Amino acid sequence: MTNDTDLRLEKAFKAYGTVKALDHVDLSVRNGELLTILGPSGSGKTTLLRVVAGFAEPDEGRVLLQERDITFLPPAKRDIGMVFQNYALFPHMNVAENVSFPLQMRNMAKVEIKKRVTWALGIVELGEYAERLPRQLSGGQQQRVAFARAIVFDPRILLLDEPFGALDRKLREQIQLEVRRLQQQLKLTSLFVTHDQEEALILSDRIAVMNAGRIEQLGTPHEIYERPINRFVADFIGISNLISGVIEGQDRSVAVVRSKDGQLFLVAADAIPTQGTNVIVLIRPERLVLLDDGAERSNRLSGTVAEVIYLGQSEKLRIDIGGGRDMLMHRQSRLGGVQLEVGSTVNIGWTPEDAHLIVEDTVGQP
Amino acid sequence: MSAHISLIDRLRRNRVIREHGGSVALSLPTVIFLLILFAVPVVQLMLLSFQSGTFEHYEKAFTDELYVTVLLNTFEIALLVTVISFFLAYPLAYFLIVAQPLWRNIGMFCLLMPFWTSILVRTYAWMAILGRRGIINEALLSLGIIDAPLSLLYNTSSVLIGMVHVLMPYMVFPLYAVMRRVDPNLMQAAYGLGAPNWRAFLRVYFPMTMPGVLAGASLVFILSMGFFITPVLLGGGRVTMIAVLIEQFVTELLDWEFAGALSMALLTFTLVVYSIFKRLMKSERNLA
Repeated sequence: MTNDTDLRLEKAFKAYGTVKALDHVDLSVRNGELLTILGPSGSGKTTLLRVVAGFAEPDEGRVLLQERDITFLPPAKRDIGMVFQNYALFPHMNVAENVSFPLQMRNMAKVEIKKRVTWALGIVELGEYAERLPRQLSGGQQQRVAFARAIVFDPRILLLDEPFGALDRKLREQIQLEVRRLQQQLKLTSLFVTHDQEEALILSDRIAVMNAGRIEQLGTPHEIYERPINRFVADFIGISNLISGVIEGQDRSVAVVRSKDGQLFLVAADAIPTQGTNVIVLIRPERLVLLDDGAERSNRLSGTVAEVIYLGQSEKLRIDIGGGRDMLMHRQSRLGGVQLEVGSTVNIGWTPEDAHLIVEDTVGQP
Repeated sequence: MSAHISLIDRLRRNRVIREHGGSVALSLPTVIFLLILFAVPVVQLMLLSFQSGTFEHYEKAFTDELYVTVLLNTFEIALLVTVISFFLAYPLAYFLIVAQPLWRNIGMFCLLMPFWTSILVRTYAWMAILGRRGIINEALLSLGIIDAPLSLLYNTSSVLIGMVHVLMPYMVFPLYAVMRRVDPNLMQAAYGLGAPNWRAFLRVYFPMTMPGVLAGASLVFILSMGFFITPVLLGGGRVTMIAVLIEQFVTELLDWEFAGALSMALLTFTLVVYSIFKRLMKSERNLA
């Protein structure tokens, strides 16, 4: 284990009956980073978190925390801070008592406890609320108390189990950024579990996309979004236009892909699979441009506008390109230029660099 | 036109009666029932205790050592029954919460079966178990562990056993109800924050079940205070609780006035205990 790794899972395996919740998962969380486990419900992300926290034991494999094997250590001895989904604040204790709980459990001196509680409540800007009971606080304040309680004892790592799910949208964004800022400021190694891909993109240093007990892809938000490794990741993160085809040939670092209905598309790629390989071409909706505005692109499709959703700053278009297939397009809203209405005929295009090549053979491995 | 208005008015008035008069009308039978069979006799009893126009009966009840002893004895037994019930009921209620459905059902059955059985039957059953020729003595004698039968019956212990047996369900059910509402995440949070099992229990779980403890304790304590059949049969006249004393004054000594005074003393004491528990519960609710 290298020194900059705080938490490591080695071939962690856990099954519930015939369902593999963790299918030999390897994962390293680096010192100070926020790594997000992102996946749909039932992907095994909660099991992974429970195994790290000590609420579940893996059937096989090991969990190492700062080079120490903690696979079978009880949760109380792990020194892991955790923010629960519904905060799990103790309702019969006030804010200060909640935050001092982990310190009392460590038999810390009263003076030290007081100092640290004041520090932690200061960090989350809740110093004024020390005497309040959890139910007298708003959702956002409760969330901050839970965070203060999780970091007050200087944990080795921080676990966040969908901690923003219960907050309304506007507050959620604010608190997310706040948590991210504190996490970076305190250099807290953090493992964050969520099913919300937008949240994952905003907060993470790296994202591990989980599906069926396996990590499908591990990478920075940028890599995960721009260079998904397979159809699952492409579908799960963001909105995708996917065109299935076969490699026809290549021209330097550009692959030529023939789609099922015979059209040719150019896709820039570092490694180009051999001719005849089944591939998927991914084009994100915001990469598509309207050629009727005068733009030139080497890849083009024409169709009719099937739906226009105006969002203020941008608009979403669904374009029927025939054969029962749609392309989704986002474009900045503007004054003037071509105004699109349902039924208008449009030409859309994109450059080879706007598209990403996914090799179909890596899709849906059992 | 006016016919229409009056019709609507009448409908409206009917609705008012339905909504507000309805609840009064529905509770009327109970109110009348309680007035005749509860309130009136209690008032009569109170008047009876003052019939001499003085406080002499109360003076006697609270100064005569005999009666004071009985009152204190009653209090002590009620307290013991409450404490013993608590220590037995708490683990049992917890077991019912965490057990598999099959075991939960079996446990509930074992708890409810006696609960639905007549107190008299259950008390006689204890006499058959604890008596000189009862199951325990016979078994110990035949095994040669003892030479002469132990006197297990007609003492405070046998009264306590019988009363706890009867009253424990009243402790279990409020506890069970409260424990069901405790969020299991809270215990996980406690463990995760560094609490060993017993400290998580003492600091998190137990305080959260406190409303159930208080509710159960108040039920058991108040019911114990007025217990009659079990102390009479299992105490065999040697363990006197206040209800037994009252009965003696009514049926044997025919001193209804003093019986009234004792009853009022019991009622007052019960109300005091009740209000203490209620206050405790209120402050608990404010916390939880």
